Amino acid sequence: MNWFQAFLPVYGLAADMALVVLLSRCGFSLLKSVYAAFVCGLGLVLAASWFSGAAFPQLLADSLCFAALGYGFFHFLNMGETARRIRLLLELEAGGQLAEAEILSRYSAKDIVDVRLGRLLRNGQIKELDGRYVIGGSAVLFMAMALVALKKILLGKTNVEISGA
Amino acid sequence: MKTLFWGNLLFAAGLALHFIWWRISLPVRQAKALGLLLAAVSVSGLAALYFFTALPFRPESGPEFFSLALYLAAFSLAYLITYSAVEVDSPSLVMISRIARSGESGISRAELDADMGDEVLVLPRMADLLTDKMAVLENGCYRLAPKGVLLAAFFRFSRKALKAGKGG
Repeated sequence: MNWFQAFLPVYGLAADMALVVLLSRCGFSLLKSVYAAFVCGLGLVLAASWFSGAAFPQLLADSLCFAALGYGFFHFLNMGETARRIRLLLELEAGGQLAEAEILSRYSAKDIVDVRLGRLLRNGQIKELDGRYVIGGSAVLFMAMALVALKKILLGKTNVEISGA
Repeated sequence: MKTLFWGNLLFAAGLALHFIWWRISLPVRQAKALGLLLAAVSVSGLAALYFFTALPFRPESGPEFFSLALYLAAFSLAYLITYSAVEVDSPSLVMISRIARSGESGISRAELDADMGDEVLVLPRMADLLTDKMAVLENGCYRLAPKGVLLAAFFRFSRKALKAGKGG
């Protein structure tokens, strides 16, 4: 193995990041930009690994490594998009020194619920029927149940219980 | 083969130790403890591979060791990020659980809001910023600590590059 081959997942990640920024600035939604950039980055890693003569196990390792890096990058973007702590940091950065009431006037539970309800509705994960919200599909329920199961395994407890609708 | 074999073996060892430690006693700062654990396992594993030359599928060159180190770092970071979703109940998950429990009759916005006020969704995250030394509380006011200043600048820059808003 040479250094070029060793760095292949990093090159893929760099391409992934550049493409996300480019597509996002061109007006594509962040999610579509991320998916498209990930596929391109993976294709780049696979092609470069193949043409550099890597054996299948190394090609697989490069792909998995890039997938893990891409996953991390996706979650970094997701944190910027949805994490409450990041939003609070940005509010404190803009506001300097803020009392609790001032923070809540800029970012409150209502804002948090509004944004998430909107997102869940747009993605079809929940539906609104006569002013009441119901689950929109089994996929989101399955993911939620998987996360709750993981909480129970790792933490031995959860404050959230999911039951099939 | 070397990267796949040792990368998966060492990462699995890190996860096993993580599981055992968490069942014995949950650390106060879970993400930090998990990060240190995975880093320690990775560094120890790489050191063992460097010094014990009789180990099978052992990396033998600088690029091979780098490839393995990158593999371990990538998976460790991916797991750490996933763990943050396990550690904290995301509002979306709580909302989905409430809506799912309501069954076919559904749940109204007012009913959702009843359990999801500032004391549930915002104030605990403010407390987390203090615990993680991202912010400090002085004379009843919050302000960013140096670590928080850096992180805020980093995210502000990245959000600006994407032409995205503040998020949250």
